Amino acid sequence: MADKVVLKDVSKIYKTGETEYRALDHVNLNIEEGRFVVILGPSGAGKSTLLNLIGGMDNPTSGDVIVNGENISKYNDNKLSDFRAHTIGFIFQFYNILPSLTVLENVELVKEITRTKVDAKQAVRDVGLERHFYKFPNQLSGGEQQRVSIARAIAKNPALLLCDEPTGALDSVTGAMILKILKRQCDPDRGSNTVIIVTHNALIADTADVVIRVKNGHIESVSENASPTPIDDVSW
Amino acid sequence: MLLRKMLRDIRSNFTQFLTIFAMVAIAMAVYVGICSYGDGMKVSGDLLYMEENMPDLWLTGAGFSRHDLEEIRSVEGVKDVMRYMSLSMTGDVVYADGRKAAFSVPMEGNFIDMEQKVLTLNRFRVSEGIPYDAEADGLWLGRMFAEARDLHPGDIITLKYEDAQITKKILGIISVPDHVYVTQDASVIFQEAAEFGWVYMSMRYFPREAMYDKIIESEGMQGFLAAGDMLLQLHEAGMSWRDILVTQLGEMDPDTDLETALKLAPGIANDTAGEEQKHEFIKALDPGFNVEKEYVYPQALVDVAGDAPGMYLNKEDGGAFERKLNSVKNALYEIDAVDSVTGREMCSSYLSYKSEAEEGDTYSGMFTMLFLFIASLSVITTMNRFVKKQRMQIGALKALGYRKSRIYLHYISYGFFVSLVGVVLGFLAGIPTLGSFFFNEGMDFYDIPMGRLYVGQKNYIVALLIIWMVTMVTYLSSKKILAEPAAQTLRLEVPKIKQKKKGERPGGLMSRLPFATKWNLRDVGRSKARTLMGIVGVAGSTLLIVMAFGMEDSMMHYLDWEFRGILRFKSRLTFDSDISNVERSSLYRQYGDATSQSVPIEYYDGNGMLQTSVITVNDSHGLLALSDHEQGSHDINEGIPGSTYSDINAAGALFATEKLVQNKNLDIGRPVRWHILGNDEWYESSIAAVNRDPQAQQFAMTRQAFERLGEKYEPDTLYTNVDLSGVDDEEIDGVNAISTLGSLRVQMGSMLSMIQGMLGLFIVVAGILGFIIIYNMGLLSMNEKMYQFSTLKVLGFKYRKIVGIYTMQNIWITLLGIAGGLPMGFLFTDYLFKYAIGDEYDFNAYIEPSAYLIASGATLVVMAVTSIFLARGLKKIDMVASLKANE
Repeated sequence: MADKVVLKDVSKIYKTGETEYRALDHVNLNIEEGRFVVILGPSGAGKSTLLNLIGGMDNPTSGDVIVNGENISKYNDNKLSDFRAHTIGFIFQFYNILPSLTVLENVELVKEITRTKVDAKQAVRDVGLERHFYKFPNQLSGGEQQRVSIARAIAKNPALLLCDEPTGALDSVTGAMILKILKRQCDPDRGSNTVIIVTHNALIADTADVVIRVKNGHIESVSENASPTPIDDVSW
Repeated sequence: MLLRKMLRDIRSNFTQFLTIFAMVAIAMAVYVGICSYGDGMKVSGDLLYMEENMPDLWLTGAGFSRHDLEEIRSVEGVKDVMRYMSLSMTGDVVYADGRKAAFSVPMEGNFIDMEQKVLTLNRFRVSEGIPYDAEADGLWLGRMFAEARDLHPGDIITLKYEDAQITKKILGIISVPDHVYVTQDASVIFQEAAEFGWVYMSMRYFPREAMYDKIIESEGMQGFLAAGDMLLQLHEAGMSWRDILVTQLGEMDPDTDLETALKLAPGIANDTAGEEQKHEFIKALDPGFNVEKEYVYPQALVDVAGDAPGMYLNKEDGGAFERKLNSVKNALYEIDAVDSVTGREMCSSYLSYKSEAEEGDTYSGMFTMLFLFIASLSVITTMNRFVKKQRMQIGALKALGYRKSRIYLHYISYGFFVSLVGVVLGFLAGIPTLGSFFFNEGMDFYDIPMGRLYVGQKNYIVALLIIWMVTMVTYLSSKKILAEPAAQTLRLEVPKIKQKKKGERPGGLMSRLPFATKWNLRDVGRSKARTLMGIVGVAGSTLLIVMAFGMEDSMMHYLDWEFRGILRFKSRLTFDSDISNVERSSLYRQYGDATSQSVPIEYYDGNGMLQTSVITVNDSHGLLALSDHEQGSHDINEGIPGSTYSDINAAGALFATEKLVQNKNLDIGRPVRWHILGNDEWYESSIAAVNRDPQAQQFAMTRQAFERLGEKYEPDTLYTNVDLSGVDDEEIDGVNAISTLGSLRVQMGSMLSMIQGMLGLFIVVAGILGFIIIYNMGLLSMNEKMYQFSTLKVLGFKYRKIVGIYTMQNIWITLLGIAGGLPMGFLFTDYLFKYAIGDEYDFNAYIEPSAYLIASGATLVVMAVTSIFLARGLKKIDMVASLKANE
């Protein structure tokens, strides 16, 4: 399978006054299309930074980030916006849905920025919230809000779905439900999208096709999981 | 430690706290600035009036003798009386080095009773030269004129009155309590200081020859001169002087020296006689003649026992003094020599100054409340959000064992310290800036020496109230979170599961709105306090701009009303008080017979109080028109359409101005009881019609109605359509002053230019207010929604689109603010004109559409500039940091 994401000698250095913090240090990485990838590591390892660079939310200090064959590290702000609009779907630990829009409106939001045909209602149905089309986020539970966030991300059928601790704020049952939805996105009948999940929860790693372990800004290991554990079998 | 935390928190939320600080400081500065100027004027005036003993009553009569003075002094309640003579003169002014400073300037000459050795009433406040000395041969000159002409003691003034000339050295430059603001005559709206002066001197140095001339002009003397030839013929025919005296001039003193008198008569008749010959002539006919006894004092000042209530000082004891004053007034009318008695309420100097000093009272409260209201809204929104943001910190402090009261104090201290610093700075800045500005503008026209700003107790009370209010609002805004138990506070705030808010129904029209509109509509609904603060702030800013331009428009409209609607002549000639019938007829032939007569009266108002006013008997053929309610012009003989209630030509039928009727509680159906000052006959007549006048609330009457009372119509003013610009009143016999419409407009223009300075200040304040409010509102909105904008950016929304979403709300709030500010601007301006500028005026706000357009445009520009400024922040959204911060 073709490489969906390629990182070449990528470093990211944060500066605070005279102090430098090297979040990623000369990282090289290839992620193939259609895989369910988990990036695992403790807090401060650099996994979110890695995700942000892949998603075009941040620029590397050095090195190249190539997604779909395009070196996005050379993109300007406008091009990065287009890139995020058409290629990436984001899911965050704290959902980041807009509180003043209903469930359906939050998902329809993507119509504003993409030319792709979006069936917002279907996306909401896909995450099992068809009874909550017209509710506002503050009328939903945390898991339901995260599902809205997923529906918004998958509505435009992004080639790359990036999830930052998507189950971090959820209970185990809801977390498992969310993971199932995410994993479905890699199915060939769904377009073989690539899903990258950043987490520090090792149990999730067992369900992944590929596990990338990050530590102190370095890729510690990249391992293929020949037979990923079905999500229902994971004992949380 | 907590203090350090507070300072750092304030630094990191600088703009929000700056807004609170700025609003509090502006509110305090406006209050203390306007109050210190208004109270400063009042106190400075009161001090001058008290220290130099301002008269309580002014009397006029044919001439007050020493006996009259004794009679006046014996009235119960009268403490002192002083007589003098006041004349309208002209003066040539020459500097001590011989240069001429001015020629034929109108001047008022006041000649003090020569027996008055020391001034006990209306004393001089000397700014240069020597104090009053009855023996000193010279004069004391009014300060405003002296300063305008750069005159000092030692310079020379030649006063001219008819043929008399008095050339004297200036001995002192003075201010006098009842000459704080003096105009050349009642027709002058705005007195240029250099164009009119007044002097005081002892009657001792009034030229005797002028007195001789006055006596020679008397009927008896003129009769003797006319009979001179006949008497001489009798003597030549052999009749002795004694026989002639007994047979022909029986009423004359037996010691009369007819021979000398007749010898001097030709020189007297053909005006070639000198001062000594005139004296000899009068003495020959009146052997007991003593020139000093002949001096006439038609004016007198009265000091009533007790302290008159001041404008600021001794204000409370007004009632008792007023009753005493009325009883003295009534008693004085019983004295034959007294023609009229007027109090301070008729003294134009006193009234004009008082009205200027009191003008600020309305402004101060209004503006302070406006700024404080906005400050409160800022406090509510800022503290509410701020305390919410500090939720975890509050929990941590509680967990550490900080007492609730200490945490309360800590958060209340934000409001307390910010308002304290704001109040102190506002206090310190308001006095030398706004206070001095208004004070200098106001005092420019008034002669109050050593006038100074005054900061009264109420300013400190208001300062404390402001601090208390902001602190209380801070407390109330943060109370809810502070009251939570520590464990709950340490938990993340769980969004409430609640029913949809009203107006947030997702279906219907809302579902069809574009995303940006929908999002903003709901955001506005969810942030009511912030939105309200924004709308009120923008409305306040628009209001101030509308007021600034509206005040100018209204003044211009007033000018139009006054100078086109009411004064419909080109020139106005004020007659000399002793104009002869021949001179009057000649003026009629030349300029027409459109005339009027001002008749000073006293009347009982609707509350039974004795008031003083003027009836203008109007025979001007429409050149001095009367306005109806809608400001339409009418000749008095047409009546006032829609406001005429009975026969306007019935004996004594009165026209009264609307505001007079309203303020004095006059009943149109009930007769008004009145009498002419100096005349004991009282009339009862009804108000036949009601008119409007923008600047004089008084009565008018047709000539016919006046004459039907049996009164003689003796016009004092003539109106003509001949333009007499550049014509000197000295060139026309019988005329004391000429005013052209152009010159009156120029005088008003000078007043307007002064007001324009104030309006400029309004606009600057409006701009600052608008910027602070919109900036703060925008910043609050941006901070609150930053993570939402970050989400949009992560989703792929471009900068322009995010700016569009963000700006849309600001535009709405600005438009709503403008929509509220425009009518409020009108209402505030109207309020100012109707209630704040004194009972004598009847103005309405009249605001041109251009003022509304400018106000709207300027507010939108401020909004645009502020939004552009703030939108730069959106360009640099750090998506990662913003989203993390939300976590």
